[in-house]
Amino acid sequence: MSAATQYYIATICVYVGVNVIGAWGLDLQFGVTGVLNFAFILFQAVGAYTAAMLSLGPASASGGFQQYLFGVHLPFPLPIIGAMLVGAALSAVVGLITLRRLRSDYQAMVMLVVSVVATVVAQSVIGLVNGDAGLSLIPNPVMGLTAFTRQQQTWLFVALCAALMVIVGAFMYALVYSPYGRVLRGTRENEPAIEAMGRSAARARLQVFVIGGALGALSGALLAEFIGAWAPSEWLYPETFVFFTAVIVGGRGSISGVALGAALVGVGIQQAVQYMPIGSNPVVLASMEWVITGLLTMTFLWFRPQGLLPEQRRRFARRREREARALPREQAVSR
Amino acid sequence: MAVFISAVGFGVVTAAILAISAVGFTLQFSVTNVFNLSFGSVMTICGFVAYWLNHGGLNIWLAMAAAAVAGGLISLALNELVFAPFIRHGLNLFGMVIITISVGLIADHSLQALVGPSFFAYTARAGRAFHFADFVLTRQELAIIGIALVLTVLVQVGLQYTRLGRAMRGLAVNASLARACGVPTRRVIALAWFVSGVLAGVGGVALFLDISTFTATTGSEFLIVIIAAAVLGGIGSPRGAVLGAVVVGIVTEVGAAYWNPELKDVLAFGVLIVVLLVRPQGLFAQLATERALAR
Amino acid sequence: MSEDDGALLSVRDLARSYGGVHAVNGVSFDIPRGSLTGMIGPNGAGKSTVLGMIAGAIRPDRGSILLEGQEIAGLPAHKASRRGVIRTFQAASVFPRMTVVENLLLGVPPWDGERLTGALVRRRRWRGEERNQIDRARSLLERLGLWSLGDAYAGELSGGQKRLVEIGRAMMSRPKLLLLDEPMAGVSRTLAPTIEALIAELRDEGMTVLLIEHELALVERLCSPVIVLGQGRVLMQGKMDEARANPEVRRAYLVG
Repeated sequence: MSAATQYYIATICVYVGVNVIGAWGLDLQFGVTGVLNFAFILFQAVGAYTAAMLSLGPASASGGFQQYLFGVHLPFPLPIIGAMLVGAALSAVVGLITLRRLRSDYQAMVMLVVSVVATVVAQSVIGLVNGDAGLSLIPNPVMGLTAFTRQQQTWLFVALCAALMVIVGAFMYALVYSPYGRVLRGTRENEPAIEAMGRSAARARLQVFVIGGALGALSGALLAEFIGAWAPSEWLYPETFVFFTAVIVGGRGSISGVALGAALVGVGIQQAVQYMPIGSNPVVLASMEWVITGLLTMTFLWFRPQGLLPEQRRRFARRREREARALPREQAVSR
Repeated sequence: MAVFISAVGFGVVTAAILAISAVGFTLQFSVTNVFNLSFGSVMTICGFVAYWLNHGGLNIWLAMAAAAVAGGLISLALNELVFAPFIRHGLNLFGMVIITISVGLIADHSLQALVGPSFFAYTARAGRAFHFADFVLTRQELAIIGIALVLTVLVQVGLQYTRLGRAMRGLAVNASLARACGVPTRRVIALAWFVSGVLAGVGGVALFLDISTFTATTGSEFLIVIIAAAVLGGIGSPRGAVLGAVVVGIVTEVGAAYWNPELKDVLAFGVLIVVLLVRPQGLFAQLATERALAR
Repeated sequence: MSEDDGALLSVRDLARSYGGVHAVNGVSFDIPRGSLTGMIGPNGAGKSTVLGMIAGAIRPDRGSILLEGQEIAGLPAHKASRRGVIRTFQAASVFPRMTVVENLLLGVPPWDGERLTGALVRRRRWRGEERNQIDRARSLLERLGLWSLGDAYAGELSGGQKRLVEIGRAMMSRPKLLLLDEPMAGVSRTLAPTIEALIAELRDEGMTVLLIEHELALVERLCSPVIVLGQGRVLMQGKMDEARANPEVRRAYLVG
């Protein structure tokens, strides 16, 4: 296998991992708890920028050709952890301000505007994150490990993403299939009822907003460190829509479903258009990706809104006594 | 002072374009209860229809009229073929937002695949410059302001004094009650989409005229500013939309003149965020709580 | 009930208006401990608004609501619920895409295992607690006659079955005060007697219940005392036949 092919496959693996982690973050907010975070991409961006600034070092150091707010040169894994913390903190702030009792589509619009404002500010205030040009030369955490070849380093990074994906997946399972997860779904299903049973819907929403924001930031940090650069063009407001499509197509509230959706929508579409008979003009290819994404969403919302792998019904194993008495014994599995 | 007045002059033109578009956006929302985030894409398509006619030799104002009709028909078709079926299918309000965004993305990017990422321009002369005190308006700009005035007055008169206009207002307030009173809801809704599309068409061409060069995504980029104006005035209120358009138009131009022109849009959005947080129902409170979608 | 039982809930001068219209205009009454108190009145009399204010879903403009001597007026819904005030809704409010058992599990008062930390640490302990709750839920399902529907999605049930689940959910919380907002609404004739019998059982077991209902015959069978509301005020509180004889009440029903 040639080096180029290897790098190609490694890139796809990283993109899948990054998209899955991000999509899980949005799924926790939207699929499980019903929070309409149309500014989701903003938190991925915050994670990317933070990881960049925490590993690049001060702006003046590299000759001052890019200007940004602050910079330190921290070793791995501190930039990634820092990115998640900043993502969580920003989510808390945005959440406290915007998570009001607004009607759902209005809520979506408020979030959308927040996303657009952030993009415009990032583009116009040059000293913040170097404006439209964005940040580049972001060091990759495995690059310092000189014991390995360039190829091996790439695969190390893939391994890192895979490991993080497993950890986040386990975390999602623990959260969603727990009594806490039940409260989250109750908030999604019937907010007045969950409040009438003593649980605060506002608190649940804020919590998943913060956790989801941290996951989005994690995915952004990984992506920025892999690509080595991050600019406003990566996080324009329609990008949030791609994550929503992944969640809807995969299966709202279903962890494996959303992972599948993220792989298909995040990466699959990009690969698929290259094999379509529409030439190789990159603008046309990029446009077709969006058209397919939009069509996919509409198709699924019409024919299969629950997604490819729908959220599982929670069954609880029954005690022996009752089994013997009433119905035939059921081998239901406790989830 | 001269800077201020000239900025106000620009602001009035922007306000005019915004007024046309915001009234279209908010009128359709008030009647159908659907946040149509594909509105910007319809504006773009109409702008391009006018472009093709214009470059085929047609005068830009006639092209605008044709684009307006096209806009009405496209909006009508979108509702009949896409939005209304999804509403009947049982989608909730948020699902409808996703649908309108999908439609917008499909439209924008199909268009972009077709025409490419380049910049386009109409062949239209700016015309004579008229001097008013310290600001200058070209004939083209005056025409846009005139059209905006005529259209907004027409819409207001139509809503106030015609039967269909009153029916629209009735639907806006309480759809089931209106239906119970014998209002032909399907027809009124269709009319609302058509009128909104016409306004999108005029607004789109006016926008493209004003900014001189445009791309396949210009309309969608402008949509957020339209939403800012509509929400500021009170989403669902055409009168509020006009007021919001004037405020946003003038504030952004004046701010751009004195401050950083790059941040012009940030001002509009800043206004919008403050309004959404402090008084989400805008200046003319018309925002209903979770209403069912009018069928 | 004797006078010594005392009032579980005391409402004094409760009021709420909407845009100038006085939905509730100075309402005062007591709910005796262990009683099944009925609240009746013509449409628009303010019954649901009063219930909403007790439950915390609606903020009162003024007035006091004392639960066992503690002020709860103005508390938000989730806090009022934690004090033991559990309500049902006019349209049976289940969690549609969750199973019936899960619906009941969310009736248990908020417990530590439900917190975010509970999902991550001490999981075995919480699993054990959850098992106990599931057992309770299943025996409750037997009592409600919904044994076979435990794993069905609550949204797929009939109106009467949803109502049973909703009341069952309230029962799981062992409320101090149960507020039933028109429990017969949306319930088929087949299931209505079941629900009525269930409410009577709750009364006999000593639960304090406030019942809003339109069906006067039902109220007469089940409730004592009965509070009559009219145009946002209490017209009288007492026995059903007293209410029937009261001229103000008769006028309110004819006019309102």
